[in-house]
Amino acid sequence: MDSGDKYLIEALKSQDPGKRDRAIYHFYSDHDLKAFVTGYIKNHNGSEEDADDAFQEAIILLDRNVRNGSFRGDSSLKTYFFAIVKWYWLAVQRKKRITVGPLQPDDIDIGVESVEDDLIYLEKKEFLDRAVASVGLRCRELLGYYKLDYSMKEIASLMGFSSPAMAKKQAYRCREKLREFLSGHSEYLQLFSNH
Amino acid sequence: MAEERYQHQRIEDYIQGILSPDERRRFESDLKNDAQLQENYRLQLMEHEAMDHMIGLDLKDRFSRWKDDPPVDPGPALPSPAGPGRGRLILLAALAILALLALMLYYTSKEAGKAGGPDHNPGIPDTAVWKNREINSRDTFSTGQDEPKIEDPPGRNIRENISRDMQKQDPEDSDDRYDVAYARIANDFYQEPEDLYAGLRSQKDGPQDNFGKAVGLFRTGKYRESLTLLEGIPGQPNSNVQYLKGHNFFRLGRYDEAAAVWAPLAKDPMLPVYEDARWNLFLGYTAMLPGSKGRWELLRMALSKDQNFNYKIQLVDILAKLK
Repeated sequence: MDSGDKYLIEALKSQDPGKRDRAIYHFYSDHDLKAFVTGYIKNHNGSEEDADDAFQEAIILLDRNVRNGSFRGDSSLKTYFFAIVKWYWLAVQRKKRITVGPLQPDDIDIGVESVEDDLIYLEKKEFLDRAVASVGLRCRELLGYYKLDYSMKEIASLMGFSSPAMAKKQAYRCREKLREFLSGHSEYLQLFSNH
Repeated sequence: MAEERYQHQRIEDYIQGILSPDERRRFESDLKNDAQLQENYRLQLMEHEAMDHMIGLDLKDRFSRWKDDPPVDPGPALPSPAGPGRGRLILLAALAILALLALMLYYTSKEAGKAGGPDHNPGIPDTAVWKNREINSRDTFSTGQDEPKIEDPPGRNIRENISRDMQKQDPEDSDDRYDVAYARIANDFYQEPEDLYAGLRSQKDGPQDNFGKAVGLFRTGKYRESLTLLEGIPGQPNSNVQYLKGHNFFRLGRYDEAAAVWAPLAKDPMLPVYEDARWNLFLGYTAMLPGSKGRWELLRMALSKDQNFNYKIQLVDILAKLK
């Protein structure tokens, strides 16, 4: 792994919002990556708009997988990013019931996601959209910071709470709200099991 | 209630991967046999995925904003000395005090040197101790005696650099002005040449042996000894030798010499160390600011324009810090 990748991984995992933003912007502003995604999606029955979606989705997934340790560093971040794009597009096509060709080894050999999960991923995504909408924008922002392990002091400052204690109280309320929605939809529970 | 809280925390710790291996095994075994635990676990997993999803949605909002308003200026110019803000005034005042202190310490240590005083001057701040050592070793060179055996423990480079920077504030020392704050930032971004270490493992025989030893000395912080060994390698020095020399100079706070050996390497894209040399050269110039402003600006522009520059993200970060 080169030093650039190491630095980016560290930045994505960091609790410094500025550093994280710059790391994400690094991918977002990379014209080579964007050109690759556009070329790939267009060559596989997608539109310019699909390419935009895939590009953004891949950055989001890359960020998530780096933070939660799913990215093990067996490949470069760029290679991993490309694999996510391919995997994502495959999932979208399957969801639309478009016949896709057999998987190529490089679609699956760097552990992006298990291929069987691709439909579940999209189904989950739709459900999670609803869950997030149920807690409101402010809770969405707060719980996002909470998940990123920002300190309550940082969250209070970012969101204008009077104190870290107030931020903590609010985080608790938001999480309760989220749980209430989720437990009211237990039919989706089987989508969230690793066992 | 307490039991419920305990279970919630246990699941949370499992999801975050912070249970010990034993606890983890126990949890997984309980999970297989306990339907209630399974349900609670899935619920908490859902919560976490929902929170991850929130991060993703927040990023999408950012992407929309960034189309018109990027989060950082990819190539901010060096701040102009004109029109300082309050923060800058405070920084300037702090620097002026440091420079004054450095001058006082410099003359104090000179007096101590004349009187044959000890290296460690009780009551003088830590940085000054390093400064004294540096001056004493210089004096030793000038009198032609053997170089004293000074250990260069890893991690002390910033302190030493700063002490050297402080000396450079002395108008008699040099026309170049180093600024402690810039040197500190350059050191914050400095990384050891780990790729070079890896490449060296395969090199054997003759002069390369000395090179390997020089690397070993560098890694243990013996920069002067490493330099001596590198200087002794016969023949035309290759790019790795020059590259390592630059690192030794940088670690010793001899930024001008580091830049001098890195500059030719940073001009030849065919060299394996080309990208690293460009980045390190940039750090060298940064450490020498504001005296190196012209060279710094030229290199900054070249690196900012290069979409494929390996250290692009570090460059954006250091520029943001300098801003």
